[in-house]
Amino acid sequence: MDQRQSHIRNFCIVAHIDHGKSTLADRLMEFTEQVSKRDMKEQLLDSMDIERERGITIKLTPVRMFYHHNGEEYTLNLIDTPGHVDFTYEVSRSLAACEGAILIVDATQGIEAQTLTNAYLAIDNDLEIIPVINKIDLPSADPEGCKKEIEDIIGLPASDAPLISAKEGINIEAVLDAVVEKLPPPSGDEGAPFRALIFDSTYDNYKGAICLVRIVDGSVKPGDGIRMMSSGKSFECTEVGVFTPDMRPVEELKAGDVGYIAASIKNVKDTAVGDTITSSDAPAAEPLKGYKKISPMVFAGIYPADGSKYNDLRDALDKLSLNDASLIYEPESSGALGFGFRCGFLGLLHMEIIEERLEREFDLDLVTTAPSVSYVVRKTNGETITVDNPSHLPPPTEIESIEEPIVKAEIYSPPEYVGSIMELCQEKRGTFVDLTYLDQSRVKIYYTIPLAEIIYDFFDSLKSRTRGYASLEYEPDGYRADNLVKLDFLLNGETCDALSLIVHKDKAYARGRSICERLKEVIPRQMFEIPVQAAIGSKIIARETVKALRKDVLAKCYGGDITRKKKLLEKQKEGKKRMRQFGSVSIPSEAFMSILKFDDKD
Amino acid sequence: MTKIRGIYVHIPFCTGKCAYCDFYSVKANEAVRDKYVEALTTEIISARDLVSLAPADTLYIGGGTPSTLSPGQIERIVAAVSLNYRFEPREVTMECNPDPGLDIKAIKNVGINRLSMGVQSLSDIVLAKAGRRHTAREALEALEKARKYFDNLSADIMIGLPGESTSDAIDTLRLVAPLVDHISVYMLTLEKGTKLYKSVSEKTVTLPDDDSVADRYDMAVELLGKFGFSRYEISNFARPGRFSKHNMKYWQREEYLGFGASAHGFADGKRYSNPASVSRYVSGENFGSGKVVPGPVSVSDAMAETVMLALRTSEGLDVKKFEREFGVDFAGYYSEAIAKTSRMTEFTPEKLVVRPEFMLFESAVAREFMG
Repeated sequence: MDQRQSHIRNFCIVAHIDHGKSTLADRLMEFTEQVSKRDMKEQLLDSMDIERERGITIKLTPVRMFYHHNGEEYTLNLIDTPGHVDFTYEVSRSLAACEGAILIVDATQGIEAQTLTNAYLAIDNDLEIIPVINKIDLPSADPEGCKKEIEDIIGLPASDAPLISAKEGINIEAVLDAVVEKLPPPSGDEGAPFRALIFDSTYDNYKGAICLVRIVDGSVKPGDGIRMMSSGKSFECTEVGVFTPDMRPVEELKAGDVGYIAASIKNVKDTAVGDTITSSDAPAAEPLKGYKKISPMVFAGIYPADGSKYNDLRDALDKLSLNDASLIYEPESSGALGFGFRCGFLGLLHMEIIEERLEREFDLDLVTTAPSVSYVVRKTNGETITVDNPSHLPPPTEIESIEEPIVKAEIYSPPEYVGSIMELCQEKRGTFVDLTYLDQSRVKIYYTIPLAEIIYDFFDSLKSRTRGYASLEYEPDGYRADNLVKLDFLLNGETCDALSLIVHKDKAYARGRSICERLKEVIPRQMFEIPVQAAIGSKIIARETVKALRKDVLAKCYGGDITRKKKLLEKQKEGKKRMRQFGSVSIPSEAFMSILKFDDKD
Repeated sequence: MTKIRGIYVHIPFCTGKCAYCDFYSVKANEAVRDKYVEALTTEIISARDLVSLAPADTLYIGGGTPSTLSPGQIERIVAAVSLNYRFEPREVTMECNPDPGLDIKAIKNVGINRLSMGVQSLSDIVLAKAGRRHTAREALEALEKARKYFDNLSADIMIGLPGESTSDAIDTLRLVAPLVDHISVYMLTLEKGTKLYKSVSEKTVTLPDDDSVADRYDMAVELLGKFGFSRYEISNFARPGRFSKHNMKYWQREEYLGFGASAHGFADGKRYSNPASVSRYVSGENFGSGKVVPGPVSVSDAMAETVMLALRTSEGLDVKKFEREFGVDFAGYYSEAIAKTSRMTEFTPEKLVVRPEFMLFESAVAREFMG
């Protein structure tokens, strides 16, 4: 093995959400003096506003550090990873660029659902794992219990796991020492044809699309011809560099390095994450093992609140998708909402984050439809179609069967909540598979449940029934046919496509009723009476009426305060503008999300 | 400006706060009231230098409760106005509450020629729930007494107060109408920050529902018609010739000077208001140093104001006058709004008026004509 690579360690940090991953990353950088302490913003790697506010990491961010150990200098490349289950895909991308991982366990919480998921992901990617026990400064810390859990549940030796407090900066050096001593160095062939794995991409207005890469074999420098192995497209490399964590150009990237490559690539689609970059002069024969393309699980229509902002929304989605490879979208149109996009997300949190980023970073006002899943519909004519927008479901007479996505749901909880969790799963059409006691205080309950039930209010119900103690993790488990129907909602006699839902037939009546009631509450009274109806096919199953408005007038202007009156009218007018015009009915944006909100009646 | 102005004087004192009220008012002792009247006269005098000289013919002393002032204090205010402005008193209104100790004769003698009595309801239950500090009987007696001294008498009535039934609303109007020349009937607006808002949010008080209130209002309009009142503005009803000249100026977008804490004025094309603070006001922070809206009202705002205010009146908007003032072709400029509101309005080359049966939808019409 060559001398240079033996002084490189590429690693990531994995943990359950909130166990202190970003804080540890900050401390590592601080300790290696990458960032001087006074310039330190909390959670330096979490560069998006949303990330810092919510205290979660969404995007992976690489950074290069130097560390002296036994008189020798080591280059440590850290790739931060998101912790939430929705972002498993991003985690697996960063794992593929590393040789090792630090697994953080919170000394007060022990192993949690995502600790396991991420640990197994790392093991699957053949990474060497260093367990680290964090938050030992807290009075309720139980480091010995944690070590035992790590050994019993994950099966990793943990006796010499560093005991640290990332927050207080305790024992950080032990983590760095472990990285150098225990993680293997990269073992690429510098003499072989150039091969680099794209694990992320970003866009720069001056440099074009930029590939974040792990160099596996060979080397690359500005002026080299490079080729994307999946598309065969060639570019001339204009800049290579590393992350400090800001981008900094270097002369050359060699096997084992983590960095970026810019090549005046105009189209972000040419920097497909998971693709292999090779040399266009001396191409490698085989691409690297990429990642499984992840498919979105949750779908929703996203529309501009102001119809004229359609192009802005499209540009915003184009830009977002550059550094969020898991976001997919295609144009669609709705009678009620006009032109917008059907977007696919990894999960509900992912959907929320995308909405928030669109609104915040691109200053857009959005109307989002209730999330749906993707159904497989077998038609009577033998055709099979996929439907991810309920309003596109064919008429009942053409449907042979509808299959819905099922997930394997693993719920971790203290044993006292088992009863109410099972009751909840039962209500949500779940099928019991297994129940295991992990130890005296933790149970794993395993159910298969339709994804559609999960994306409604499952998570909130679970949290409320277990006082927040239970955690949920799920993964796709194929499709299953069930007695599903399309539930439509009619406003003033017209079907409002953006409100349609696919539900289980047994639940359709109750849902139809409660949504009609809710729509009646959120749709303001207008100059005429508005019937609100729920229907399955042509059969009306529930009805409410928004009564006609009787007055719309402002009280007197006391002492001639005209300005206040005018402002009130202007404010009202603004409010009306934000409503959607559906035929002659004005619908506030909340109406489209309101069908998501559940109460105990459902 | 050749227009004849109105003058508004605000008296922000009350003996208590009505549950529904969100206007600025405080309790004050005699010393504070005296200082306030002192500050008012100072403002009235100093304002002469800040506005163009124009005649005025109406004075409206509103509140609060102006009748918390002594007749002597009222006299000083009327005198300050008369001495410092080209004031030809066609209408001098004062608001009062039927509180014990109200000296109607003395008020008449200090130069007030129009009295506006805050009656609100003639149901004792409704009055008590609204936090009014008088009974139905006291209100009726005050009206009867005022009738003797004033040939221009108005009453304020509210519809939709908590505890009010349809018959309460109708009985109140039936009893009040024969005694007065003018009635303002307001539907309750639940304002944030009031006692009532809190009680309603906490569900300790329920309000009559919107539909019953609208029904009661329709009945009120009909009833007042039978008593010889015509509706000249959304909430205002008068016997022939007895409309409020002062208030008409607001709706016709004429100018008025405003004096006192939290008073609003409109002079030389600028709207302004004084700070809503008696303590700041008595220490000399008043007209001109108050919160003057910077610069004159823009042309587009002036147009919106003109339409919005005129639509409140049964006369409607004088289209020709509007076209002369702003130099636009009304039908062309507002073609979209006119088309959209055609069901609710009557539009001719001379007039744009909200049809009587759509008066309670005036805001819906006005919004279409706003920027």
